[in-house]
Parts: sequence; C-alpha cells; structure tokens
Amino acid sequence: MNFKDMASDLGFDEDDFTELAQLLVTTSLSDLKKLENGVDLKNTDKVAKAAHSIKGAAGNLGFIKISGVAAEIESDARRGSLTGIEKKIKTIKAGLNAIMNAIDQ
Amino acid sequence: MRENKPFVILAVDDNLLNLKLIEKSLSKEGYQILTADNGKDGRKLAAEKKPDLILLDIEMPDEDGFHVITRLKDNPVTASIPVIFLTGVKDVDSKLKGFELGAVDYITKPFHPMEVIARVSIHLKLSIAVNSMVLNQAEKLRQITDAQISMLPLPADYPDAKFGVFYRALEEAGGDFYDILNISDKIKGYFVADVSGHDIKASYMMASLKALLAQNCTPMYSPEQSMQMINAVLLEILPEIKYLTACYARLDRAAGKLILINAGHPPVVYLPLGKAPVLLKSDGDILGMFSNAQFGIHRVNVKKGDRFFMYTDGLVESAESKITWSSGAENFVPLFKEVRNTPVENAPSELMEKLLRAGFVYEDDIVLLCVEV
Repeated sequence: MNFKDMASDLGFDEDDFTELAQLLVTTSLSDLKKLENGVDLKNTDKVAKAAHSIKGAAGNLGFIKISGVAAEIESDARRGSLTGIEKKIKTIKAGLNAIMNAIDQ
Repeated sequence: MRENKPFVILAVDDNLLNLKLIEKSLSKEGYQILTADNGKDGRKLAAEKKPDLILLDIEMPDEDGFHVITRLKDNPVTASIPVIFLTGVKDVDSKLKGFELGAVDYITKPFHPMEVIARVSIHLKLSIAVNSMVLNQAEKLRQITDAQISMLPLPADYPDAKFGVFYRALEEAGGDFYDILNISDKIKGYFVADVSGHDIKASYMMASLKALLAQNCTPMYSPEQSMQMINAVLLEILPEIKYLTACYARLDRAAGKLILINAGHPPVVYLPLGKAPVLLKSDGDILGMFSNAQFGIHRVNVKKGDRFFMYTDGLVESAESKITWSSGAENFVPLFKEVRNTPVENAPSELMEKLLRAGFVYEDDIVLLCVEV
C-alpha cells in the first residue's frame, strides 16, 4: 500500500491523502457496525445501504479491494441474500486494518 | 472569481469522506466549499448562501437527492443554481429522472477528484454564460423601456395642453402609446393607441407612430384626413398580423370645438362641467388593416372646465372576468365623476387608485389620459 502513489493518482499530497484515509477508516467502521447490525436483524435493506456507503468511499480513494467486496455485499443484499457475508465483512475489516497500519507507519 | 470573490460550491452527501474529498479537491482549485451531510441542511444552506453550484448525492437517508432537487427548483431563491448529481446508481432511469428534475449533469461514484473539478468548472462556465446572456437581454429591454418612456410626453412638457396621464406597461416593452401634438397655439391634438400585442415589436411601433403623427397632424389636414394618411402609411409598414386601435382628439379651445376620431378604440368618456359623464361611442375601423378604412367621428361643442378621458382597453377589458371593453366601459363611467374636482394632472392616477381599491387587477398595458378644456 503506497500512499504516496495513491495520493498522486488523485492529485493530492501525501498528508491530505493520509487525512482522507483516516476518515475512510472511521466512517467505514461506523458503516460496518450498521452493516453487522443489519445482518443480525436480517435486514437486507440496511445491509445494502451500509455496504453502498463503504463501496463509494473506499472506491473514491482507490481502495479497490474494499470497494469491490462492499459492492458484492450490496448486490447480494439487494437480491435478499446474506450468504457468505461474514467472510466478506472480515475481508473489509482486514483491509481497513491494513490502512490503519499504513497510516501509523 | 468575481471581483476577487471565489465561486461557492455546496456539496450535499451523507458520506463524510465524500464531503471531505470534494472539499479538499475543490478548495485546492480556489473554490469556497460549503458542506451538508443531509438534504434538509443542504436546502437551508443553499437558500441562505446561494452557492454558484450544488453537488448533490442521490442516495441519502430521509430526504434523498430527488426530493432535495425538487424543493430547490420550487424555491425561486435556489431554482437557478445548477445541480450536479453524485450517484452510485448506474441505471439509466435514475439518471434520466435526475435530468428531468433539473440536474445539469451527474458524476458516478466512485468518482475521481479531477472529474469533479472538470465538471464543476465546465458547468460554472455554462452558468456564467447563461447568466450573462440573461443580464444582457434584460439590459437591452431596460434600454427599450427607457427609450419608450422618454417618447411619452409629460404634462410639464406641454403646459398649454392641460392634461394628466397614467401609463403602465405590463412588460418591459409596452404596446400602448399616447402623444400630445401642438397643432397650433390654440389647437392641441391628443392621440391614444394600442398596438396589437405588447412585445418588443409593438414597442418599436412607438417611434414610427410619433413620427407619423408629427408629419400628419398639422393644421393643413382635418383630423379624419390625418388618420387616413397615417392609416395608409401603416398599411405599408406593418406586418399583416399587426394593427392598432386608436383614438385621436383635436381640441380647439378658443372655438370650443372637439373632434374625436375613433379607429376601433374604446369610447371616450366625456365629463361636461356640472353634468354626468357620458360615453361617446362610435364605430370605426382599426388602423393598419384596411385601405378604405372608415373611422367613427364625433364633433362636440365643449366649454371651459369640461373634461374628456381617452384610454386603452386594459382599463375596461378583462380576459379573466370575460368582460369586453364595450360592457366594461359602461360599468366604469360613473367612476369618472369622482375625479371631477381633482387637478387634471392627478385625475388619471387618482382614478386608478380608486379602481385598484375596488378590486381592479392589471391584465394588460394601460394608458389613461385626462384632458381639460
């Protein structure tokens, strides 16, 4: 994960990008809580909306993998399916952890 | 930048990261950014700050983007602000709905900051161009209005003509017209006309009419001959669909003679001193339509202190209430005696005030001219 290159791709300097990455982690963790709550309640609409939010935010900063997994969750949930969602949530959490580690370095 | 003020962009999105991303991208380019994380606050900020452009997320809890843009377009304060939708939804129907509701463009999420900058820039340029065009046109209309008003004589310009006038154009360029003519020291001419339509073309007619009146309303010609000459010229210069109704009064104060020529125009109200007002009705052909036009003629022996009122159909006609000027004029006649003792200069405006208090509504251009013998 190279923040310098990712920042450059978006036309930002590294400090700006780090600030945005930090915000992504904060907002996505909040969205993940809503998503998990939706899973507990088997509320696919709530799951889809939370996943939609993560998808867009992560995608905007170039975190393609997180965005892609969130897109899968959103798509499944809109079809009424929550099958295999736990594994996907873990993938997103791992991705967010990796970003946090990169910020701390 | 305008006068060193940055353009103001309002971003409305429930995702804080998206807001921050937009803020950082656009502020680097010199824009001032306002943000709201929900539709209601976004609308409020838009109305208060009147930003130059709004970036609006479609999918938001409570008020979604479609609801917000509908409310923005309903509000005159925010209706003209260009709105670009931010959407993660890819279906065409959703995008078309956005355009139908008044969006100028959309940006698909995830978006690249450079795309946001490029789209904001192009739509600001478009908006500036449109606004500039509107302002230019408004300025031209104002110039026409000023020119039009400068052609209309005021009582102070013709102290011997002893008249008062009320003039109101419904739009920037009115189709009603009046003029005062110094035919000789003792004889004055009063002309009131209504050109069909009240658009720019109608207002251009004013300059032509004024010149025609000056050329043809002279001691050499009788009032009827003057109107015949003017009709002949108008037949040549007017487009087929354009015509005018008019009333021409020639008053010889020394001889106590008033001659009225009516060309398809509402009747003159004659208010003899100490007597009840009467309508001087006469049929006559309109001007600019027929080569062998026949005009209505009234010859009235008048005395000092008598008054007569010439006006356009906007005073007595109502499309909304389905009142034609022939019946409308009858209804208004009793009102004229109420301004009998008002100084002639103020009589028309006082009469209008009385009409407005009685529930009169402006639907058309209006000229109301009062002349005292």
